[in-house]
Order: sequence, then C-alpha cells, then structure tokens
Amino acid sequence: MTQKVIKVKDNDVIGSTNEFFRQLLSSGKIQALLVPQNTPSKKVAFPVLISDPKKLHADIIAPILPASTAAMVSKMTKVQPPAKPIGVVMRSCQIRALIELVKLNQANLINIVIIGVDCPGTFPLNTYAEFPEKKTPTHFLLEAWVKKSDDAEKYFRSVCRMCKDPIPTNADIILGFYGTDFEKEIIVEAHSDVGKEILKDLPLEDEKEGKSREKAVKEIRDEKTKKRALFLKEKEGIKGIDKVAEFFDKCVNCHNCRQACPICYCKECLFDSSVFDAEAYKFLRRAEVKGLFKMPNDALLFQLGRMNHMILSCVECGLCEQACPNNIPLMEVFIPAAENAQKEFDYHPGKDRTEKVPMIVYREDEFLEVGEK
Amino acid sequence: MRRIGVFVCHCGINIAQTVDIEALSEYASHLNGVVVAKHYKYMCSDVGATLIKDTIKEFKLDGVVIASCSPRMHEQTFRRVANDGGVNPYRVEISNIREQCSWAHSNKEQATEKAKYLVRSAVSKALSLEPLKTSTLKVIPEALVIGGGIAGIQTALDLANDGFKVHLVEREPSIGGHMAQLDKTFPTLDCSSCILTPKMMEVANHKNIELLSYSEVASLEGSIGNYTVKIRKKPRYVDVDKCTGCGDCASACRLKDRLISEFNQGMGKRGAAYMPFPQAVPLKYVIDDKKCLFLTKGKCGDEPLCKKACAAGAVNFDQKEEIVERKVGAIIVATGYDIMDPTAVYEYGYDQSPDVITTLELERLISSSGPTKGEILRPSNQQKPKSVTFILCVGSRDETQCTWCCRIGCMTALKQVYLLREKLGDDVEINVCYNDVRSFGKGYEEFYRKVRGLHTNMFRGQPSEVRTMKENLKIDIFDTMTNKLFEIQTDLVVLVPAMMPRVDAIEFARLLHLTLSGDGFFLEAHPKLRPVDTFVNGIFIAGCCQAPKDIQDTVAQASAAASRAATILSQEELEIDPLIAMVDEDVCTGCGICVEVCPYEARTLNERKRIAEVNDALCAGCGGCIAACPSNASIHKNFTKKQLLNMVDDIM
Repeated sequence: MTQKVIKVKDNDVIGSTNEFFRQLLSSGKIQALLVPQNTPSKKVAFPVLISDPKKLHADIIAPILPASTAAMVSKMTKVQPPAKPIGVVMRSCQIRALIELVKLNQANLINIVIIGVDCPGTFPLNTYAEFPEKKTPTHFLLEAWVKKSDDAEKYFRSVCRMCKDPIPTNADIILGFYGTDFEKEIIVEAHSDVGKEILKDLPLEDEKEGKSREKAVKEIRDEKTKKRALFLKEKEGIKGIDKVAEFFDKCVNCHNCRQACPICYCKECLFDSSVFDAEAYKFLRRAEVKGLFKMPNDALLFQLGRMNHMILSCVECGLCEQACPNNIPLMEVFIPAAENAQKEFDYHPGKDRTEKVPMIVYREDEFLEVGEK
Repeated sequence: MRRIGVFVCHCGINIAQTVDIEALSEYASHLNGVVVAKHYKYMCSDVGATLIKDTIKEFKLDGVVIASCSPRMHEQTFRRVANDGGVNPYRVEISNIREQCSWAHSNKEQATEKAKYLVRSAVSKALSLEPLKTSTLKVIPEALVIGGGIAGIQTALDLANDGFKVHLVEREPSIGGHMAQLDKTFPTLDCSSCILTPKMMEVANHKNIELLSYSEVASLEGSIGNYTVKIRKKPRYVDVDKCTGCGDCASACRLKDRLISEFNQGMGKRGAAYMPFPQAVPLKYVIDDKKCLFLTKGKCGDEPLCKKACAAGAVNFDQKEEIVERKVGAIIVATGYDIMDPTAVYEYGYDQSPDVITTLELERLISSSGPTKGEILRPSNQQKPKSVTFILCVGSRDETQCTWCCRIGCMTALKQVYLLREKLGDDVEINVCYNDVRSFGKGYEEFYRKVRGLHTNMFRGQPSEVRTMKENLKIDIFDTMTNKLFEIQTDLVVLVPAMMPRVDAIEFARLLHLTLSGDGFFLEAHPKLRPVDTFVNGIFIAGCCQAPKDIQDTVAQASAAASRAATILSQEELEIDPLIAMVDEDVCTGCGICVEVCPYEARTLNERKRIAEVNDALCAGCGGCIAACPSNASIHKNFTKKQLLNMVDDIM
C-alpha cells in the first residue's frame, strides 16, 4: 500500500478533492470519471460520467446515495468493458455490491479503477433534497464531522447508522477522511498495482504518520458494528408468517425495491412475468379456501421471493428501503435475514471476488439436520 | 378450446376398493376442458389401450389424462398409446391416484375426494402441456469397459463377440483382477487360473478388443451414444512391442526379491522390474517407477542392469505418460472392490502377529504358483501349522465397520477349509468361528455339509480377542450353540475381511457423475428392475463395484451390463427425451449460476450472446438449473413454473 495526502487549501475539502480528480483526468491515465456531482438544481447529487476536467464540480462527500453506483458500473461494463481505464468513485456498500455483480457475471472490472471514499453516512434522498438546515447537506455534514458532534446522526438513513463497514475495501485507490484532519489533509491510499501506477505521477505529498488512520478506522468500524449488533438484538422479534405479513402490510407490489436493489440483476423479475397471472376462477377458488383473499395477491410472495433470491448477496446498502413509496422499514427485516442467511453459508458478500456465491458451492456437510446424515 | 379425455384406471381393486371410480369419472367429465371421462379395470392392458385410442379418435382429443399408478410405472406405455391414437405423447399427464391416494388411505369417501383434487390438478396441467418432439443423436458403436477383473473381461468379451469395438482399460499392469489371485473357486473347486486364463488370452487376441493396461480414465465428456474419454497411459518403461516376456530384466534387477509383491498380497517378493504373475495379460514386464533405483534416484550402479540384460532392447527409461482419446457410445464400469484392512478390527491382532493373515493371503499360500509353491507354512517360522482357525465376518455385518454382508466370506472360508484338509491331512485341527453360515447359492449348502463332515470345529460366535503368544495364538470365543466359553490355541489365524468399495470410489464417481449408495458402492438405477443401469444414461455397472458378490453373480451381471450396452450400441441413432431444460434468451442475464449448478455439464455460457445454453444430449432433465435460476430464464419443458402453479391452484 502506498499512502499519500492531498493538501487541502483554505479548508476547502470538496474543492481540493476536485483538484485531485482534475489532475487525475488530465494525467491521461483514466479517460473518464464516474463521480457524484450535484444536479443544476442542487437538490440531488447523482453520479455523472465526466471526461472533460473543466466540467468537473463533483461532491464526493454529498451525503446521498440516490441510486446504486454498482448497478451503473454494471450497465457500463457488462456488454463490453471500456478499452481504457475509467475511474469510479464509490462508497463501500456500492463496492461490495459491485463485487457481487462481478461474481454474477453482471459487471466487468477490466479497466475499471475503483476509487473508494470513506463514508460517514448518507441522508434519505428527500431529506437531502429539502434539507431543513441553513447550510448545504455537505457543509452541514463536514462541520459535524470536524466537530465530532452527533448533529448529522439524526438525518442519516438508519442503515447508515449501523453500516456494515464504512471503510472501502477492494478499492484500487481510497480517499480517506477518518484519522486525518481533513480540513488540512485528505489521505490517498493505493491498494493495488493499478492504483499505485495512477498515483505515481500525481503531485501528492507523502503521508508522514499512518497510525492515526489505522486507529480511527478501527474506532468507526467498532462503533458501527456495535450499533448493528444492538439493532440485530432488537429486531429479533420479526419471526413467523403472521409477523412477516404484518410487516409487509403496506406493500403495494410496486417493485420499486427490486428496481433500486443492486443485487436484483434479473432482466425480467419472475414477479413481473406472466407466471402469476391466472384465470378468474382460480382467484375465486383461493378466496373460497379461506373465505377471503388479500389483494394484490402476490405482494408478500414477491417480498419473500425477492429476499430468497438476493439475501445471500445483500450488502445492506438500504436502497430498497429508500425506494419504498410507503416507507416500509425494509432493512429491519433484510439486515437480520442477511445476517442469518450469510452466517449459515459462512458467506461474506462483497468481501472477496474469488469467494463463490453459495448457490454454486456444494458442501456435503451442509444442513445435515434437513437431509441425510 | 382444448379437448381433454380423462381415463380412470381401477388397477383391479388396487384403486377401485378405496376410490369411487364412477364418482371420480363423473366428476372429471365436468372439469374445464374435459370432453370425455372413461374408466376401465386395467388401463395398461391391450383392451385399455384400445379404449384410449378409440376414444381419442371418437372425441378428437388433443390431450389425455390417465388417473392410475405412478408415472414411473406406465408413463411410457401411455405416451405410446396416445401417440398411436394421434395425440402428441407429451400431451399425456398421469395423475397418480394409486401410490399417492388409494394405497395411502382407507376411508373411501375422503380418498375419493382427494382423487378428485389430484385429477383436477392433472387436467389443469394437461391443458397447458406443449406438444414436444424428440430429437436424435448418432451412436458411436464402440464401448469403454473400465476395469479388467472378471466382470470387465466378461463384459468386454460379450460385447466384442457381439461385433462391437471395445476399449478395455485396466489400471494394473495386467488384467485378471482379484480372481487371478485365487487358487480354486467355490463350490465346484474349479482351478481359478484354469478358467480365467483362457478368457484373458481371448481378450488379448480378440480383434474387437483394444486392451489399455496400466491405464486410467482421466476425464469423461459427452453423453449416451457419444462419449469422449481421455485415458492416461502410465509409462511401463518397457516397450510392449519389443518385450518378449522372457524375464531377463526381472532376473537382472538389483532389487530382485526385495520388494513386496502386491499380487501375492505381501506373502511373496518381486523386483522393480517385474511381471505381476506368470499368466499376466499382456505378458509384458513393467518397471515400478516408485521403487526402481534408476527412476527414483537417477542412478542404478554404473548402468541399469535390466536395460543391459534385455536382448530385445525393450527397456526404455524415456517413456512418458501419455493421454489418448477414445470415442464411445456406452461405458461399463467394473472397477471391483477393496478388501478391508483388518488392522481396523485391532482386537484380532492382524498387525501384531505375522501368523494372523487374511483369506486372500492364505489363497496365495495355497496356490501352487504362489510364493510357497502351494505349501501351507506359518509366516512366522515357515513351519506347517498344526492348527488353523478361521474368523468370519471381520468388519462385515458390523455397525462400527461395514454394515453389509460380504456374501463370499462364508463360502471362501469353507472352500479354504476343504483345501487345507486336502493339503495338511486329517491331523491338523481346523476351527471356524462364524456368526451364521450363509450358503445361499446353487450347490453352496451341499458344499457346506461336505466341509462340516471334514472334522471341522464350528464355533458360533465372534471371538473377543486374538492374543499373540510366544509360540502360538490364543482365541477366546463364547460359543452360542453350547453356551460355553472356549479358549482355542492355534498356529495360524485366517481372518475373513469385509469387502469394501474402492478407496477412490468417490473421486471416480465424480469423474463419471455416478451416484454412490450409502455404503459407498456405486448405486444402480433401480435395485430390482434396472440393476446394472446407473442414473447416467449410457453408463452401466457390473461386479463388485456395485455391491459385494461372488464370481457367479459377477459374471451374470457382467453379461447383463454388456447386453444393456449392446441395446444402445446396436442402434444407429438414439432419441433424446424432450423433457429437458431450455433457456429463454430474452430473460437470461448470463449470470452462469446454472452452468455451475448443472451436474451433467449440460450448460455452457455463450459469452458473445451473454446467455446460458443447454446441450440437449447431456441434459438429464433433473431441474437443478430451474431451481437455481432467479428469473424465469431456465425453463423445464412441460414443467414450467406456470404449469406447476396451475397444478397447485387446482389442488387447493
């Protein structure tokens, strides 16, 4: 690993990162950059694919994840990867999702340079768009971060508060904010040969002392892990079909969650197909069995079916929850389900490209209690 | 509008006594899409078939539901009948109202109700069944036989005599297997070599047999009718075309008589250049690359003596492993068995005393071509024993070792008692400790009686221990016939060890996609009706790789396997069942999970189109890919999700 720093001028954190990105683009080592940038209305920050350094006014701190960056990389690379390197700026959850998509043959990392950014957390899209404070969300967050205050905590998406791991792994380059006084210096780490090669000629300064980063990373990870463990303990209660049905009561079967989920990679969702269409007499018969039959008929089936299909690869980005028009707190079910299911298979989504998805791993000693000894 | 006919079978009284057939037919006739419902005593009979065919024509049916026994029994029959009547055979749906209804219930009223649901569900599926066509595949009229024991030899000869080209692969330097190690065979006391050697010679000389000795199967691809096998030929370091079998190399070898002879079960010695036994086929020498000084250390004195001694110039240390490829239409697996290492039953002291031996080791001592030229000598002192004791069921029928019966142990011991009596005379004491004597075959019980008459002491029970003493061995046995505890002092203990699956059976099964039964032997497709078939079409099993058996049964099974293979090989083309998986190209995302899941290697990823594809010939229709696919891109023909949901809906 190579560690360097970006010197921050005039406490302008965002400006300095942008200067770094412009240098990166101008160096010719990458031909374009996928990076979050505020829309002209400033209401949201969406990833944009930028090839002209002059057009770059990115905001990598913007506390918003409007849609899956991993899914965007998938779209750009699965048919044919780029001929020359593209830099993609991603949060840790999206890198984890991208690794899963690579395993599922839905994305290609050839000529993709992953630039991971330390993530303090994100606000729900609507909160970001109509932010009640005087400052912009980014400045508000940066200020709270510097002060180490809890001011931003109340705005974070619940899933961010107990993030599985806010520090990027599997990135070629990491931009680090933890363990540094980022109003003066931002850490730049190269974690791969590609990353080293790219950083080599950029006008960056050497990092003098790396211990504080290590310590801060451990602290933030511990804090999030603790919160997640507490949450898991609290949410143990959602068990059994009645409780689950009650939980999904508000589901209108719009499938927005599937649309937002980076892991739902199917071209056509089984639940969007005609498989569940049926003649009227069959609906009536279903009603006759119990006297009544809740419509839309396949909402719960969809929720459980989708969970069954994607839960082992769930990276806990919470985009499904954010997409839900009826504010069903999906992560209250999906995090415990992911935790338990992944534990059963000792599987760690997004951790290692070479770890095979459990569906294709055959182990003779698995689930002995349900099969032959 | 579809026109479905429902045919309800009484199955004699099997269905009729628990299900109200009249009521069921009446109910079926009113179901959505059904134009006629009929019932008959035996639908599978000629009369039943005629009834179906006539009704198809009369009512212009385009789909048929048969409410009868399990589809495993008569689905094929009814497909044929429907086809003859003019309905696509894949538009036949069986409703199993026997195994899944009448046999399982006793209350007629409730069983009839259930039968109605089952039939309703089947009609629902029949309404959505697609007419399917079979495709065909060219058959390569050659066979691969794996294993050159008596099973493989018999199969190879049968097929070769039927006119098919056979490739016989044997991993040892010679064919012959365990049978070649035996002196005589029970119950007729035929000399084993005398009946086996001619068959081995026939294999060597048969124009239709290619013998690939000292070779192993490396990989297998393809499917029934068209397999591609890669075979690894291990280097013999002796050019088989030049070797005359004179034995000068073996006489010259510096390690002569210093290495353990596997063929003699460790009772005799050999050199690094050796021939496993005098009647070996091929009659060619081999150099043991794990022991040969030149091959292991790179130096054998000034020069390898074998090379110097060989007048024919056959010794060739430059030989390398070679991979050859053969294409075959059918495969017969006859890989045999291993003998359990009796050390596992530690109380019998197999590793404590040289005078505790196995039946196979005794067999080598009895054999006139064995290390003692047929003299029975105690390994410890090379003296004739005055007392010999057999212990049966060592590891067999034992919950802690092998639960199964070896099926040859009793008769092997009795045969050896007979031969020992012949060789050692009446003065020698012979004891047999047995649990039950299982003498079930033709002439076996008579042989048992004969041996009992030879002053054999029979103890019924399992000895608790064999103790190694200074001069001899002591055995404690509680005889359950007399209810007495005996202490036997004996000179030689012969253990009858269990018959085990080959130690590498699991890896070999993976290579060929075969299934193992719980005991670790290869699993037949049906224990009674398909005893030599496997679950992989075109691969058959024969001999002890399937389960322990004697030579008689092995040869019978070998001929059966040859006959089953010939059924395939004699056809120019094979029909491929269309009830297999397919891919919806518009829905498939090319994630490749199905490719990894498929146990038959029937799926591949088309990188250009970014979709998965199915090789129709390889697909066995197991449905694994269907379950693994998260979208509806993997489709099992006529078992689509929609069709199954229809069935579920109508069974509610």
